[in-house]
Amino acid sequence: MKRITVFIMAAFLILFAALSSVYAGTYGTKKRRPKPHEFGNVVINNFSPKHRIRPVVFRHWLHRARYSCRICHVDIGFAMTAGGTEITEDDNRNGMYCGACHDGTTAFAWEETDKDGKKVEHCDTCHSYRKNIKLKNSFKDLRKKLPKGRYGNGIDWIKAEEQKLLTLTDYMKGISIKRQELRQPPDFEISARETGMPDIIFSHKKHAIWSGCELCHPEIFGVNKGETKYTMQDIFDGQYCGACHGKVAFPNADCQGCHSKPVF
Amino acid sequence: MRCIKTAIIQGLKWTGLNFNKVEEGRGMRKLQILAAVLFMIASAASYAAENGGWESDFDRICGVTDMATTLSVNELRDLIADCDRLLETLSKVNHPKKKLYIFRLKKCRNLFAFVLDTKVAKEN
Repeated sequence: MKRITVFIMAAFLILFAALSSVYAGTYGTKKRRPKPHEFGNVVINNFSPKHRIRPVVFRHWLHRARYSCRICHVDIGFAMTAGGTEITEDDNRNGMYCGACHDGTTAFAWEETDKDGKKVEHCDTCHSYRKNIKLKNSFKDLRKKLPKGRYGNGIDWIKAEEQKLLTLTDYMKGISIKRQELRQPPDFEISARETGMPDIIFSHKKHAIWSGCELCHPEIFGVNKGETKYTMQDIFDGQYCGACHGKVAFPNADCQGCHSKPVF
Repeated sequence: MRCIKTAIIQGLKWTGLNFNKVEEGRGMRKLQILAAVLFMIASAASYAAENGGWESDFDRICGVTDMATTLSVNELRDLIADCDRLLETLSKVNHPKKKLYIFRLKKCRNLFAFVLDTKVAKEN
């Protein structure tokens, strides 16, 4: 190959790489679709680098199989965005946040004593970013037991709850308040803005079982029905339905999950 | 110490109680224990007055979030006022989970305000 050809090809490659990095900022980059066991995982990295420890990988699938969203995001006080709570190790050891359950009674603590009386540290179980750790609970086993979903974790969580295959804890002594019985507002329809797209049937029941009222209102949905028009772009950007859908609840690619009103 | 002892004896004399045993020393020990117990009770009562009352208020207020839509406008207004009062109290309290309770109380307050706005808008 002639030198000039090599030079032209190299110049093109450099130009292509430079343009890609410039336009990636404008048009975004295609992200790898997470594997079912990765969907909903959150990396918490507020103070880990400072303390020279790996960031925490929080697995939503493992926790949502036992607890309602509300118990963690209202009663225990976790923010809805990764790192938004700014959890410290002291907080956990004072029985807040992760420490509300990870106390050695409800769930494993950061330090426990084994049968031989030796102290065993469990730091790596949570501080596990980019580390292969063997979990006591397997995702595969859980997935086998539950109805299949098309996207996300590959689990139909709503159906699993409806079929009582999951028992969601929504009250924890010393943390939660005894609440009055949930009075659910009725389901309602939201008209789709795209022509030909079926309308949305929003079920308060399906959502409130997991989230209660105060998780969504008014922080995520501070609007009265029909007052504010939000778009799919807002949802893709993590607002409104996108606060959960696409992050933990089934992703937006599953159009029929929401746009479910029969057309005929 | 001697001054205190004399003061106690004088105090007991004034109340008309038998103070002979106090002077013997054994009675003095009992009095010291009694004073310590009284001090502990007073401290506990003051701690409860400062920190305990708000917890029951918190439970009462945030315990009705699930039925917020069924509450009347006046009930919601009262609850919002209670939330504001409690938020002020909580800001002064010394409790390890203070920031968590403030976070939760704000969530409850915001929900009541949201439901209230919805109801008022509907009425108008």
